[in-house]
Amino acid sequence: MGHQLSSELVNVLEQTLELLIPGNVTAAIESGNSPGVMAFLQQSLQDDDVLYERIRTLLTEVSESTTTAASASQAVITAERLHLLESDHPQEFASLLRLTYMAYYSRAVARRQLGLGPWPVHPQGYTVPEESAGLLQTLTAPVRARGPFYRPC
Amino acid sequence: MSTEPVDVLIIGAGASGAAIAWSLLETRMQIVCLEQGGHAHDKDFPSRREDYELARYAEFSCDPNVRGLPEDYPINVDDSCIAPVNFNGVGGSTINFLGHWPRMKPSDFKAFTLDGVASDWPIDYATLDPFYAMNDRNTGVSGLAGNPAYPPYAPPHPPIPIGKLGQTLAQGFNELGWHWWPSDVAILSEDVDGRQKCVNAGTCDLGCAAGAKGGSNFTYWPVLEQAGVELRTRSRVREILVNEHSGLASGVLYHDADGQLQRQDAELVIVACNGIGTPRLLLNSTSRLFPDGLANRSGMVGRNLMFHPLKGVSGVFDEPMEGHKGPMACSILSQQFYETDPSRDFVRGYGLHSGRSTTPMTFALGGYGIDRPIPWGQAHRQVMDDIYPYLASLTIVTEDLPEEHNCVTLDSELTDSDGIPAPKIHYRLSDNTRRMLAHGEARATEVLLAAGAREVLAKPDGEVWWRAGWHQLGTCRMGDDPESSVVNGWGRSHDVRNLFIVDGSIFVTAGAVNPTSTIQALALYIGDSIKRKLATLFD
Ligand SMILES: Cc1cc2nc3c(=O)[nH]c(=O)nc-3n(C[C@H](O)[C@H](O)[C@H](O)COP(=O)(O)OP(=O)(O)OC[C@H]3O[C@@H](n4cnc5c(N)ncnc54)[C@H](O)[C@@H]3O)c2cc1C
Ligand code: SF4
Repeated sequence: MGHQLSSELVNVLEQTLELLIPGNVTAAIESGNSPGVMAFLQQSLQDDDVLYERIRTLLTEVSESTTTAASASQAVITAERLHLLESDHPQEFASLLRLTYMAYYSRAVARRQLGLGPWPVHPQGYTVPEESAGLLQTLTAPVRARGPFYRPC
Repeated sequence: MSTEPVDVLIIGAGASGAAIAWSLLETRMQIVCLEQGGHAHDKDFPSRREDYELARYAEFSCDPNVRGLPEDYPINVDDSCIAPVNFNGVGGSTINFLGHWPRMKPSDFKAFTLDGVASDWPIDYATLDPFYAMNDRNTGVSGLAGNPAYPPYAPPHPPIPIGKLGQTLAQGFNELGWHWWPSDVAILSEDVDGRQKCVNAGTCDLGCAAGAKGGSNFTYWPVLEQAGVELRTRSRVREILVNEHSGLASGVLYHDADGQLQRQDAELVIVACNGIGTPRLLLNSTSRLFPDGLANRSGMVGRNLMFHPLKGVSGVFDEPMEGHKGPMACSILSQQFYETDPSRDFVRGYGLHSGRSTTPMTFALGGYGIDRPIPWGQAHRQVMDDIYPYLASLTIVTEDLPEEHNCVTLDSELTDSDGIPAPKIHYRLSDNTRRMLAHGEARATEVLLAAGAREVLAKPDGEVWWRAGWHQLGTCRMGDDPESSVVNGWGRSHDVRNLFIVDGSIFVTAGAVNPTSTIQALALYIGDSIKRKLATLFD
C-alpha cells in the first residue's frame, strides 16, 4: 500500500481544491472539489514519494495554522491563507496546483462544461464547415491583388 | 542476425530516413533501417482515451526528458533557453509533429548574397522545387494554390477549413493590407488511398488516431515495409565504424532490443537521426582517423544549432473562436515580415502563424510548450470562462541565424539506457532574434486589434517558449567548402565518401518556416543525386 493522506489532511485538501478552482454556479461549472479530482490526487500521491512529501508538508502547514484550538475537521481555509502559503512554499504549491489542474481537466465532464466534446476526441472529432471556394476567393482577393510577394533572386 | 554487409544502411526511421529510403527503392539495393524506437500504432494513440490530455505530460510529452522512455535519450538543457523536443520511433518526430507544411522561400537559400549574413546554400529553391512537389504528393498535402508569397505551385489536395478563428484573423490582415494565406498542411482534407481525412480533433501532437496527418509512419513506412525495406526497430546505433585503410564507413555497432551490442556492415551509410541525434552519433563515433568525431575535420559537427524561437500573442474576441476544433498548428500564415527590410533594426524576418487554441488542461497549465499555469482562485474562473473560449492567437516564428556557439556537444555524465553519452545543448538567443520577436509582438497586436480583439494578451517577460525546440537545424551543415561544412551540396560527407546525412542538421540557414517539407524534399533530392551518380558515388 502506498502513501495515503490522513482524513484531517483530506479535509484540508477538499477546501483547498474549492479555492483553487472555484465553480461557476450560473454556468453550472463545478469547482475543483468535485468527483474524480480527489481520487486522481490520491492516486497520484500513492506511489510518488517526492510529490506526496511536498503536498503533505503543504497541507499540514495549512492545517496547523488554521486549527489552533479547534479540531482539524473544523479548520477553515481562506484564499488569503493559500496566497501566503504560495509565497512561503512556491515549489510545493506549484506541484499542488499543477496536479489539481491535471486532475480537474482530465475529466470528460470538465470539457463538457467548457463547451468542448466530452468524448475521447478520436474517432469522432469535431465538425468544422469547409469554407466555400467563393468565400476563400473573396477573403484572399486583396492578397492576390498585390501580385507576387517573394523576393526575386 | 547476419552481419553480412547490406547495400544501404539508414540510421533513423523519421521524416528524412523514410523519404530517402523511398527514393532509393527503385535502385533495388538492399536497404536496412535501424531505428531506436518501435512502431507507434494509431489504435494506441491517447486521443482515443477519455483523459487524453494527460498523455501530453507523460508518455506522449514532446519532451524526451519528460517521457523518459527506454527508446528516448535524455538531453541536457541546463545551458539553453529552449528545450529540443522530438519523438523516437517509426515515423520519428512526425508522430507528434503538427503537420504545418510551409516551404522555404527562394531567398532563404541566399541569405549571404542578399543580406550579407550566414552563408548561401549550395543549392537553390528551383533545385528543390520538383522534390517538394513529389513529397507533397507522397505525404498528402492540403492547401490553396496561388499563394503570391511563393513561385507558383499547387498543393495536391484542397485546403482544410481555416475555421472561424482563421477567417477572423484573415480579416485583420486584410484590414491592414498585409499578406496572409491558408496554411499548407500535411493533413488530408479528403480521404485518399485508404487514409481518412482530418476529423478536426485538434490533438495532432498525440499522434493522429485518424491517420490523416502526414507523418511518415502513415505515408512512407507502410509502402517501404511492403516493398521489402528491412526495418529493425529497438535498434540504437552506438557508433559508426570506419575502415582505417580506406577511410570509408564500414558499418555500425548498435544495441538490439535486449541491449546486446550487434554489428551491421554496409556499403553506404545514411544518417537521419535529426539535428540533435545526428551530431550526437557522429561525436560518439571517434576513431584514430577521426579523434574529434566522425566526419568532423571541419570542427562543424554539432555547431550552428538553429531553432525557431517563438512567442505568442493572443487576442480576446467577443464571440467564441472555437479554437479547439481543427488541427492545432494550422490555420493561416502571414509572411508579411518574412524578408529583410533595411528600415527595421534586424536582418531577415519572421512569420506570423495562427494556430488554434489548445485543450483546457494544456491551456490551464500555461499552453503548449510553456510551463506556467494560469492563476488559481477567482482569476482562474475568469480566465477559463471569459477568455479561453474567445481566444485567437498568433505565434511569431523567427528565423534563427547560425552561430557557432549555439551547439550540441556530448554530456560528460548523462547517458541513455544503453550507456551512450547524451547530448548537451548550448544555446542562447541572439540580439537579432530578440529584436525580431519584439517587432513581431507589436505587429501581431496590430493584427489582432484590426481583427476585432477587445483585448490583447502578451507575456511581457522577454522569454521565448521553452519546450519549443521542435526544429533542430544546422548542426552538420551543407557547403562547398570542407573547411566550414560537414556535407557537400548533395549530402555526402566531405570527409567520408560513403557517408551521407539527410536530416535537418544539413540546413545552412533555417528560414522562418517549419522545416519538414524542406527536410524531406532535401532527402529526396539527395536520394536522386545518389541514383544519378551511382557509378561514381565514392569518387
Ligand atoms: C511536437 C512537435 C511538433 C512539430 N511540428 C512541426 C510542424 O508542424 N511542421 C514541421 O515542419 N515540423 C514540425 N516538427 C518537426 C518535425 O517533426 C521534424 O522536423 C522532423 O520530424 C525531422 O525529421 P528527421 O528525419 O530529421 O528526424 P526525426 O523525424 O526526429 O527522426 C529521427 C529518428 O532517428 C532515430 N534515432 C536517433 N538517434 C538514433 C540512433 N542512435 N540509433 C537509431 N535511431 C536513432 C529517432 O528515434 C527518430 O525516430 C515538430 C516536431 C515536434 C516534436
Ligand atoms: S486534427 Fe486532424 S490531423 Fe490533427 S490529429 Fe485530429 S484528425 Fe489528425
